Amino acid sequence: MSKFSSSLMDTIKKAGITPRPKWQFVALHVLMWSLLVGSVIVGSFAMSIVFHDVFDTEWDFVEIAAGSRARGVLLMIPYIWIIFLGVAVFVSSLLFKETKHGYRVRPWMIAIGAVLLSILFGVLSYASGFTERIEDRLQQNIPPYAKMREHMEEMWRAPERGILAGKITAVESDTQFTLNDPLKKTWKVTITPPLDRNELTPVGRTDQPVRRPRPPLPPKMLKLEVGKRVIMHGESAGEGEFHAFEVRPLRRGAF
Amino acid sequence: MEAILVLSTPVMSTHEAGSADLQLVRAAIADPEKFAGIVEQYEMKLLRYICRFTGLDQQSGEDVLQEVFIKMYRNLNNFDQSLNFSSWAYRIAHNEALNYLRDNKKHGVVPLETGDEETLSLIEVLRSEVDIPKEVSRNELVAAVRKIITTMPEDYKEVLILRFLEDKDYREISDIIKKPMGTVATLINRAKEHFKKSYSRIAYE
Repeated sequence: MSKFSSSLMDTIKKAGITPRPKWQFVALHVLMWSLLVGSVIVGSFAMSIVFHDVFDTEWDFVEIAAGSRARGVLLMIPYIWIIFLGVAVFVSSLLFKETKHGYRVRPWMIAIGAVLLSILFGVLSYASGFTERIEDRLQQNIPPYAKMREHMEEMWRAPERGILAGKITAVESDTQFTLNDPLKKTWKVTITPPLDRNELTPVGRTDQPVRRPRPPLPPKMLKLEVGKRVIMHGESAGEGEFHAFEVRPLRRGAF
Repeated sequence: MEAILVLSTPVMSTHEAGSADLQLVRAAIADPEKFAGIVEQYEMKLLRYICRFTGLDQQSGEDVLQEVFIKMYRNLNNFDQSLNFSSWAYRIAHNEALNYLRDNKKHGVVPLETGDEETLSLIEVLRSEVDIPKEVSRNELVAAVRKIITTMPEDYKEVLILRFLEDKDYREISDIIKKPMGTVATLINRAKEHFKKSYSRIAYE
């Protein structure tokens, strides 16, 4: 035994140094992989919310409500979930790099892998309806989050621009119902065909415009049911009254 | 500065060396007293590497080496047996050397002593990358290379030492510094390029 190794073994004995038990390393690996899987799950859920917000938004109504497509897009982007997605991808990439053989993969490949996994599981979550259920639970249980989402949805309350959304509280007939908007204001809604200004013609000498009858509304109209959330395009017809040209289910809403 | 002595060891194939190491590790895990066998197997190699990387003398290098073996001993049960034990040992030594450098904020100096055949081989390898006039004396060359290596970024220095002085292949270097093989190849190329540019600058000063 060399002088150095002899001295080292003495130091080890005197200091009472012993090898760490294997279970500690196993526990650490399990913890690391759990965190890694957790970050992928968070990233997937964040991605699914982004899909939900992008695909379930009535973008043509957004343009009307916001005044321009660009402004509407900026208002509707789910910034918080995009940040979550970025953080989740970053954390999962770091954790993967620290696994036993993770360092052998180039960092950009790890990041792309994390993004692809988030997209894959995000699509599955969105398509299965799981995202919507979790989103509802989050809004019910985390008031600040619900408030933040409500703030985004307030743009659906723009009757002066012809956009109104709400939850149906009563159905009077096939073409008349009552709803509460995001600010809990009650509206009486009548489904009515829009005035086609191209069809206005003067009558006789008074040049009075005449509304010609139009064909029935396209079959995008949904079945009216109490509790259903809807979004409408139409025009305000006075205080608490709205004429709807088109009624669609509201797939993205906080109320 | 004392020259680092290189002890001659019996030549074994990589596979034979790996199997022997694994037996030692298994023996040390079963009976910690057997750890002394691993220490004797790697003592000189790791000391040489630590001194090359940090620029420490032998005595100070042994202080770092002691920390390396203590860490190795504590983590014996974490040794991944699918990995080359030599790479694992070098990885621990590399990390401790880095910690020492960062704690002390010293620049490592390669001890290029006349007569140190292995260290001079670094000059020979790098000589092929730059155009060194024949009239440059050995002392001038040693001084120039010492200056370049001293100021070289850590990333470049570690791969140059591991590749050309420790004679590690790309897979081993990848396992030691925990970077992808492609990155190792890129770093070696950049290190050689850096050396070439630095030498040209020094030569025309």
